Amino acid sequence: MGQWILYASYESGSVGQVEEFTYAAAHDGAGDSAGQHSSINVGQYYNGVSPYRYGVYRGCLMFRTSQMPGATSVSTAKLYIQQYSGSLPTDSITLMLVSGADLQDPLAWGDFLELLDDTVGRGFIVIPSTPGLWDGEHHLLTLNATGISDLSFVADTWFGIRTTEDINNIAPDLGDLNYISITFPSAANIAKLLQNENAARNGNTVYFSVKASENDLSYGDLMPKLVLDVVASGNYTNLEIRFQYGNASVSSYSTDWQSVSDFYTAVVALVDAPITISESTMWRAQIRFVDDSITGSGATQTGGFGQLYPSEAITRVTNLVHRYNRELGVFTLEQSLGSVTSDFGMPDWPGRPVSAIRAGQDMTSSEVERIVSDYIKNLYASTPMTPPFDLLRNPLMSPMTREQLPQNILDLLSKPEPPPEYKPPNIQPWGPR
Amino acid sequence: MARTVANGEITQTLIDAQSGGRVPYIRIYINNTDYSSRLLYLEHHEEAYRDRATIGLSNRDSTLDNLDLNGKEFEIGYGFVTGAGNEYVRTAPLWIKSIQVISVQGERIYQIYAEGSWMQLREQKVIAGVTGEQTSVYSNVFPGSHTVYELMDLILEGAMSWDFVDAHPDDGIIDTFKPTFQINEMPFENAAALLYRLLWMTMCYLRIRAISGDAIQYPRWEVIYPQITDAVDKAYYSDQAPYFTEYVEKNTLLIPNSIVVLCNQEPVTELWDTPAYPLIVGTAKDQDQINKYTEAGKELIQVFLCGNIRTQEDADNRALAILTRLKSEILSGRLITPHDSQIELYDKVSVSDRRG
Repeated sequence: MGQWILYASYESGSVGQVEEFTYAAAHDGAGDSAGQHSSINVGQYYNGVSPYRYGVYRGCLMFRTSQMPGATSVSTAKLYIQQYSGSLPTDSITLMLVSGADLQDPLAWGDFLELLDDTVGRGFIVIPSTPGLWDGEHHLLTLNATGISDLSFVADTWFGIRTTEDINNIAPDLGDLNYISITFPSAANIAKLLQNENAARNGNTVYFSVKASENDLSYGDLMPKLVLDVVASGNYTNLEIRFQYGNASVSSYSTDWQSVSDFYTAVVALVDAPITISESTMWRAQIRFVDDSITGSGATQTGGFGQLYPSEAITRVTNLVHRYNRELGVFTLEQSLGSVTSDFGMPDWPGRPVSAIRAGQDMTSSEVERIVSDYIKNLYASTPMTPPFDLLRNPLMSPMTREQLPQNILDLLSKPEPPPEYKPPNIQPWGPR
Repeated sequence: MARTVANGEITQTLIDAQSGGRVPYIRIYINNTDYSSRLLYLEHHEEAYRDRATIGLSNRDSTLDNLDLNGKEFEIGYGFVTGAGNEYVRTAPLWIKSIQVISVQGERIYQIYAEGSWMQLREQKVIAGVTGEQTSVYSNVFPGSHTVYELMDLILEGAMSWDFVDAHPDDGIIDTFKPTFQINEMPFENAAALLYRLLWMTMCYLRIRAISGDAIQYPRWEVIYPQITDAVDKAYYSDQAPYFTEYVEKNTLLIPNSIVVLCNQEPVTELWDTPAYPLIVGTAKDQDQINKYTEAGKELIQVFLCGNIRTQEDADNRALAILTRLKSEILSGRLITPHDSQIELYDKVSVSDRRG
């Protein structure tokens, strides 16, 4: 249905327990470092220079999956990470993606220990120690079914990254620096790329933001990114484009966006009072997809993946009609939605004999009578196959000219097209209630 | 919520079968006899306040000629023929109210008409087991002694000996508000009408489920409190499984769009706004609907008299409850799908239409 790319969010980072004299102290420690929005370290080391020390790093990735429609489902998910230039492990190591459900925002030292029991892989990638092969390249980690099931589209999704040595509690040899750094832009640059997160949220409505500032877009290539093949999704209900003008300092990214007309006015004003345009001057635009599915509502949407109903979020299934007909092969479910309050009443009891005082009425109600008569009618209608259909269904029969066709076929062919069927307005669609 | 594996109401195999290879299976098991293979046709309505079914069974072998199933209880099971055999889930219990023998050319049919629990409640004029202060030879009153839920419980468990699930959602009214509730103010109410009156005091609904097993069943009732923020139970699509074949929706302007509830009537004299019982006015309105009506917006007020409500909070809650129920009338829709045994009343579904 489509492909979505989600960059790891600002909250991502790594946690560690370093400079310990024993491997157990490092591996099972409570954590003594936590860094967000900087290069993400993953792996472990045993420093070969006196004093000999152990250290373990675990990575934490957060993706703002909550900004996607709540009904999203994906078929494949791929994580692309870029190895920080010059960052190579002493030995070949395997990075394992694990659950990050226990991680918190902002990352704290304690998150190191939270990842200790997350040992079930969501996908892995082998990082060789060969210089140059991986350096500066994007690495692909394909999520397995468990990893895909971890993706939440109601809340944001956290993943942890550990090495298999860390998971299996295998100490590094003396001198091994079996960890790498995953490239992650600096805080300021992430802020430019990801847009002001506070501005991206407004009550229950969530905006999926794409920023198009020329200076900042290049940072996207450096970010860990999740590529999702989406097979089903809810709908974004509105599409807006908004603008802001300012300079590139983080503080200038205010929440005050400008409408198109205001933005135009600002541009015109620049003509009257020109300023110096430099690299730090920033123009940005944001495309907002307003997603009602987060709030559980349906949609009256203007673009995206189609129309989503029902258009009132409170609507519930208020009537179910199961229909089965063996002759016709009918096996359907009719669901009535909404309109429940006035449904209470004292209905006739179909099928019940009525007293003589109501003489003249049928012994059974119209509903029950209709059901059985429909069945009986179909019983007869479906018995013998009529000659025209026999003829048309015979695949061995050679082509015929019009003159060779039987008269009953010719009668059908010569009939004029019937007029369009007239449907009276205001038909209640939900049948007898 | 729709039937879930976690609650033991359906198997994952059966859920998977909804959108995979589909060989439908309907189970008709009555009085220790399995009639499923005789099924010719069926129309089963599960409505908010009434459920019923018309079922035609083949009687070509005349085996059913002298069969009297009137009054028997059974549950229709819906499912699929799966790798694990015939799997199904039970719907709410029905009781057979009439049997018909139909003989037509080429077929002999044994037709069953059955009705569910709401109809039994309608038939129940005398509420045995319900206690209160007797105010006349036929009338009882509960003078603010029971919450709405407790009154429902007296009817469903006390009088009918059915199961009313204890764990239930709270809309802020059903467990808090203790109405002055008079039974048979005019002779004679049936149990369904009583239950309906109680429901109108709340923002809740009632759903009936079956209890597993082939032993004689009694219905299991539970409280449902729909909210806008509820997650979608099942999504249907026009271009991928699970499919829908047809969807119709009509939206109606809400009239009235503003509810006023007049409360605190003098109980003895039945006068309004006396020094001892000053008038309490509860209000609730839907501003969006008011703004929609005419260019300038039009507020259309409907007044309800609820003299036995004594506090401002209860008055406002009643107004909100009435408005919420009226708002449920705004949308009417009809959705046709291939058979689905996962869906039940008050589920929230979504329809994704990519046609056109």
